[in-house]
Formats: sequence, C-alpha cells, structure tokens
Amino acid sequence: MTGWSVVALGYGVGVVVWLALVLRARARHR
Amino acid sequence: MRPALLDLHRADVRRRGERVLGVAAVVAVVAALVLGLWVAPPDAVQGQSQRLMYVHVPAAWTGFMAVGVVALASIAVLLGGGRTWAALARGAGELAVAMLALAYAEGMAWGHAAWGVWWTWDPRLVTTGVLLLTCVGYVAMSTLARDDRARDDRGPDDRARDSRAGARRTALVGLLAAVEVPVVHLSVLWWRSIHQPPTLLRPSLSAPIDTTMLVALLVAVVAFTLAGAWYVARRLDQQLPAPEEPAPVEEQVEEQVEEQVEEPAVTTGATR
Repeated sequence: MTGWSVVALGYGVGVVVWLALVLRARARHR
Repeated sequence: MRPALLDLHRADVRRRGERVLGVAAVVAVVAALVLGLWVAPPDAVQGQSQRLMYVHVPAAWTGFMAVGVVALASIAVLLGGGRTWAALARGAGELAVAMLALAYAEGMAWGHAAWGVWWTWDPRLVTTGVLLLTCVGYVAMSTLARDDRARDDRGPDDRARDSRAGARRTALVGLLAAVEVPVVHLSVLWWRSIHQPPTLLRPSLSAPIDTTMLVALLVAVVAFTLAGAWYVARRLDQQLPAPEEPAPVEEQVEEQVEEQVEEPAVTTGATR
C-alpha cells in the first residue's frame, strides 16, 4: 500500500477515532 | 468573588466554554484537513504518505499532553483533592488512550509505506506501546474505583475509606504514565532507533522542514489540542453531578456553611 491509499487509510482511522470520542462526549450518560 | 465568566463551578459557564472550544476545534480541524490533504506539497522522497504525519504528530502530542493532565490531576488527588480532580484525570486518561492508539495506527500505516513493515522491535515503538498499555491500565483502574464506589454493602465510613484508597491507587498509575512520557520522547536519542529524531522539539531550534508543511503540522497540532480540550471538558461535565440533581447531604451542609460565612462579607461590601 503506497501513496494516496495509505493516506486514505490513515485519515479514515483518524475520523473513526474522533467520531467515537465525539459520540462518547455528547452522550447523555455520566 | 469570582467573575461569572470564569466561574467553572457554574454549569452554564462551563457549557458556554465548551461551545466556544467545540466551534474553534471544528474550524481548526477543517483548516488542518485542507492544509494537510491539499495545500501542503507531497514529500520529495516519501510522496503522499508523508501526509500521515499531519495526524500522527498531533495525535502523539495530544496524547502526551493528556498524560500530563492526568499527572497533574493525579497529584491533586494524592494531595486530598476531590471528585473533580479524579473526573478530570479520568477524562484526560481516556483521551490519552485514544490519541496514543491513533498515533500508533498512523505510525504503522506510515511505517508500512516507508519502512516496509507495520511494526518492528524498536525503542520508540516499544516505549510508546508500554505507555499506551499503562494508560489503558489507568482507565481500567479508574473504572474499578468507580464501580467500587457504587457498591452499597458497606457503612458510610468504610465506603469513604475505600473510595479514597481507590482514588489514590488510580492516581499512582497516572503518575507512572507521566514518568514514561520523557522516556518515550527521548527514546530516539538514547537508543539507536529506526524512528526519526524529533523534527520540532529538539535541542537546536531551526526546524528542518518546508514552511507550508510546518504550517500544516502546527495547525493540525492546534486542532487536535482544541478538540482534546473539548473532550476532556465535556467528560468532566458528564461525570460531575448535574445541576438539577440534589447534591449529597455533606455538600449541602458545606454550602450552607459557606453561605453563612459569605453573607456578612457581601453586606460589608454593599455598605462601603
């Protein structure tokens, strides 16, 4: 895997991790 | 008296601060994505895969900062600080796990493109792995302490004693993680490593990096820092008692005592 495909994988993982954090931080539970 | 704008004990002030942080983070993240994916040129040697650095470096930075917050809040807990410090440390601990894992994932993807392997026995990779596992352990310890607090098969004295002991044990693991951060940072200088030495945080101040790349990297670092601060602030709010909930009896008594103490001072101020 080289070039843009590895960039897409890396940025995709970043989006997933941050989405998980945002969902956790916005949840109503404590 | 604290100015209302800075009074973090007030839920509405905290909420407003979170909203400002959240909006700033979103703006910075969009700017970082545009700079990292479009404006910054591909690296002369590494090509497009170098763009992973605009996620890898900020994630590692934010992870280290989060461990720093865990350490400071843990010291406050060990010095007798209350639930707020423990909740702050817990939120920062979660952020540290997520960011160090993300930095690891980005590093693996980049390593596969640049070194030809996803992982290797290297000082930087091993020390970072130990730090990540310590942070996972920290969050697990914090959860154990929280679950133990929720048990109701003890008298109030035993419960308070166990709660303090759990908070102290958790804080000690937080301090252990903080001790590992400089080891991770200096691992590339102490031992022979396949990982490159620091580009920005190094002894000589001139960074050997193209200006556009440097701007993209710094904006990404700011974006991650803002988003991380927003996360920790939100988690802190979630863990503390909601304003509409009646506070525990001890806190109500404390508040009444504070009101009694403050009242004469206010009267004096008004007559002056």
